[in-house]
This record gives sequence, C-alpha cells and structure tokens, in this order.
Amino acid sequence: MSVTDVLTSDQDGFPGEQLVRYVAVSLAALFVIVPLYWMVATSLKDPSQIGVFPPTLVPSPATVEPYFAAWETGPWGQWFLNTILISGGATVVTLAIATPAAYALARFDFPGSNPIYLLFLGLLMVPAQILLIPLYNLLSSLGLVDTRLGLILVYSTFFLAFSIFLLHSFMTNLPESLEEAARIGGIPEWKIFVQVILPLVKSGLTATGMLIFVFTWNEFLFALTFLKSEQLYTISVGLQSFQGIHGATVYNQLFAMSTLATLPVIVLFALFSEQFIEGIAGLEMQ
Amino acid sequence: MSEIQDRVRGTLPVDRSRLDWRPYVYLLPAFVMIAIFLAYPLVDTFLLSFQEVVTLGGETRWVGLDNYVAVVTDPLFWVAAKNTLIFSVGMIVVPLVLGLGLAMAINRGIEGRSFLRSLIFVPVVVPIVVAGIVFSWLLSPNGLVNWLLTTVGIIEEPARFLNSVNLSLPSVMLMVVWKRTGYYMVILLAGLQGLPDDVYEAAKIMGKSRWAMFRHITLPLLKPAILITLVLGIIDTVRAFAHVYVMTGGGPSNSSEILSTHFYQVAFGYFNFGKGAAYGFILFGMSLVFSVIAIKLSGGTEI
Repeated sequence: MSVTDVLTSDQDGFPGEQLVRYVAVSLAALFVIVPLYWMVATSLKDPSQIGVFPPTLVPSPATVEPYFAAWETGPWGQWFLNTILISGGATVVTLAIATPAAYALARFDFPGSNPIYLLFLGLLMVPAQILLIPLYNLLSSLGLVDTRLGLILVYSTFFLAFSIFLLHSFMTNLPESLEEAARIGGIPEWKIFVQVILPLVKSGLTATGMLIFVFTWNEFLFALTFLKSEQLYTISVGLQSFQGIHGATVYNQLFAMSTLATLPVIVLFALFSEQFIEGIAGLEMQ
Repeated sequence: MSEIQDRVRGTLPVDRSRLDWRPYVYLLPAFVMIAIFLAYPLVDTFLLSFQEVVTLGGETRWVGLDNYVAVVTDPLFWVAAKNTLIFSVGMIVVPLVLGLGLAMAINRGIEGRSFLRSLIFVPVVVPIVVAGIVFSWLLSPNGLVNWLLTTVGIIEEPARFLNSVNLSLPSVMLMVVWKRTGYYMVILLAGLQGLPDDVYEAAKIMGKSRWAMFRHITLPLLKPAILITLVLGIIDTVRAFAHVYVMTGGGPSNSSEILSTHFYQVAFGYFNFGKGAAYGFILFGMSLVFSVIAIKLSGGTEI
C-alpha cells in the first residue's frame, strides 16, 4: 500500500479516515516505544552522559560497561535465579492444580457445579493484599516465611481462579463425544484426562502458563513482604532496593539491570505473542 | 458473559441421574489449596478486624467495630480514597477510551495489524517496578519529558513532576496509561472481531452515519467486553500498589497516596494489624460494590 493509497482510500468511511487510523496507531506505537528505548539507551551510556541537560538522545559512545559495573553491586545472579525458580515453580504448581479443576467444571455436569463456578469467580475479586497479614502469620507458623516455596504456594493460590477460568474456556469447546468414545473404548478415567484431553488443550496450557510466568515474574508486593533476606530477593525487589540505595546517581547501571529484568518476559512474549493475546482475550469469551 | 448469567440463575442443565465422584476428585487439589491459603486467611483477617493486638507476643482482645471506626475516621483514609478515585481515571477511563479507539483503528484495513497489536501490548508484560523506575527517570528534572517540554516552549523551567503536590499523581497515572492501554485494546479487539459484518452492511445500506453505527451497533454489541475491562479495572485499581510505591512512595505530603499504599502503611509501617485487617475488608467491600455497580450500569440487569 503506497502513501497515496493510504491518503485516498476513504471508500470505507469518512474522508481521510485511513490517515487518521495510521496517525493514531503510530502515535500509540511511539508512546509505547519511547520509554523502552530510553531505558536501553540510558543503560548504554557512560557516567558522563547521565544527568546532563539537555539529555543525550543517542548514547555516544555506547558502552556495555554499566552492565558489568551493576552486576558487581549485588547478588544479581542469585536474584535472577530466585525469580526463575519462583515463577517457574508457581507456573508448574498452578497448572497442575488448575487443569483438573477446569476439566471438572468444563466437562462434567454435577450437583454443586454452579456454586463452585461462582465461588471461583468471587475469589477473582479478592484484593490479594488484604491477606498479607494472616498469610504472613500462616507462613511463619509453617516455617515458610522468607522461603521461595512459601511464595510459590501463595502465588499458585492467587492465580488459581484466573487459570481455572482460562483453561475452562479452552476445554468447553472440545467436541462432546470425545470422552464418550474413550470410555466406550475402555480407557481408564485418568488416562482420558491425561492422554485425550491434555494434548487437545496444549495451546490453552501454553497460554495460561506463559501468563502465570509473566505475572509472577513481575509481582512485587508479596515478594517485598515475604522475602526478608537479601539472598532470596526476586529481581523486582532487587531493583527496587538498588534504586533505594544508589538513588539517581547510577541510572545507567539501574537501567542495565532493568533491561536484563525485562528481557526474559519480552522474549517470551515475542515467541508466544499469539497465545498470550488469545489468553487475555479469551477471558472475555466466558 | 452468558455462561456466568446461566450459572447465576442455575439454568445450566445438570443431569442428576449421572451423579459421580469424578469431578469432585479433580476439584479436590484446588479446594485444598484455596482452603489453606485463601479461605483460612480470609476468615482470619475478618476475625482480626474486630480485635486489637495488645502485646508483642500477639495476644489480642476484642474491640468490636473500633478498627473500622479507626479506619474511616483517619483523615488520610479519605485523602487516599479521593486520590484512588482520581487514580482510577488513569487505570480505567483513559486506557479504556484509548484502547477502544486503537482497537477500532487496528481492527480493519491497516497494514501489519498483528505486529502493531503485539507492539502496543508490550508494556503489559514489562515488570511494574521497571516501568515505575523508567517513568521516574523520564519525568526527572533533567529527564526527557522536561527537555521536550522546555524545547517546544510549553514550560520555561523544568518541572519537578514527582516532587510536586499537584503533579505526582498525574505522573503515576501517565505510567499506568502506558501500561494498561494495550491490555484493554486486546480485550476490546477480540470483542470487535466477534461483531457480525452483515449488521454493518445493513446499516450502511440504510444510510446510517458512522457515528450512528458506532453508537447504536458497536457500543451495544461491545458491552460484554467493556464490562470485563471495567471489572478488571476496578479490581486492579484496588490492588495497585507498586505503581505508586516505586515512583513516589505516596508523597509528597500524601499527594499520591492511594488506598492500597495507605493500607500497607497502616498494616506494615505501623504494624497495626487489627486496623489493617479492617482496612482490608473495607477494600474488599469496595471492590465488590463497585464491580456490581459497573455490571448494573453497563446494563447487565439480567445478572
């Protein structure tokens, strides 16, 4: 489509509508990109280009030195590892518990299914932070405060209702005769679930898993409250503490680590963007 | 939303002759998890909201509604409530309007549709702490925004956005709009794609204006999608914490304090667990009430 086509193709609306569309979307794209560009650009500047006014729009010289300098300031490797373990663990636990529950709600008619469905819906509305105090007490009596396992269990519970709804929407659309055929064929119940249903909702599992991973990767409040030792921080808590300690003095280093913290979720999103967006939009299809 | 309505009315057919134990077994792990880490703490918070912690060892005594009274007579609570209302414009209204506009712009006749959709969605996956740090830097006195504004001549002196009583909350809201517009756009785009083309064709043949089509076809048909974004927006507004905590910490002089950060301050800053628990239930109630109001207002009277 050439520029003149864009400017003149108004057969489907008011004159110049196409142009308005392109301008609006371009402005939105610019608004999205500028902060991300600024983060990466700042991370590549040497200290002489930090805090000067007018700001240096393009790092010159560009250097990766801030990445190495920042890495020395704290246990960043450990923080990344913690975040991977916690997000990965929460994703696995949530899927393991939510998938059979979603299967029950999507594929069985049973007494109590309506109240149970509505209960899960109600749980979505609980603002999680109001449970901080009793959860803190509960975790300490279980010896799980300041542990990765404690946070994994808490995250898994909070993302359970959301995951059940999402997986449920993928399962209700499967053909009705599916389990019938398998049961007539004499396949045991658990095998129907594991070998017939699960492979058919692979895209749903991927979408849900990715969303949980990203949400838990980015979670801040619970990580901040439940992880006390520096050695156990997640990357978000680490970044926040780095910002608090070093303030505005080493913004290039702060942004080097911010870029590293953002990279994994952006890469995941780039690889699975279709499933991701289908997952988010799928919520609405309920 | 139709299934939710069926579930509420209990009209989803249940064949009681086939009663079996299997679905309960599949649900059991979820129930155990929710009982331990959600239901128990919820009940515990509720009980705690009527008690006062009197010793360091955690001994408590019953104080009736004192904690609730303490919350609503705290002047800061009302400051935070007012700020949360303003904040919700950034969490809900602005990204919803922008998201709807973008969804309609992208929905038809644009090159690279799927790429643009993904690009505008990217901020949703950026960690909130990172977003807060980046916007603090963009809005700093010698940051990019001040440079742009002074260069274009809109302001003469660089503004101290985050240290200003009037500008701290709008600054956080700018970041929130950045973070949420793509989220709403994607939900609304999915809603738009579900709209039947022939209705528009018919309207066009009848000579309806674009505005009339938007007003009388698109908006009513999009109602379920808009309803979802509203309810998600309300829940997320009550939950929002890091947004403010990272950029301003609620300051200066509480000008950007929202309910969630004030709640955290009460519960974990002053370790007033009883008052914190009461505060929590007030937040939960708000979440529920406003969600129901949103559902009613958007015409979902059948729910």
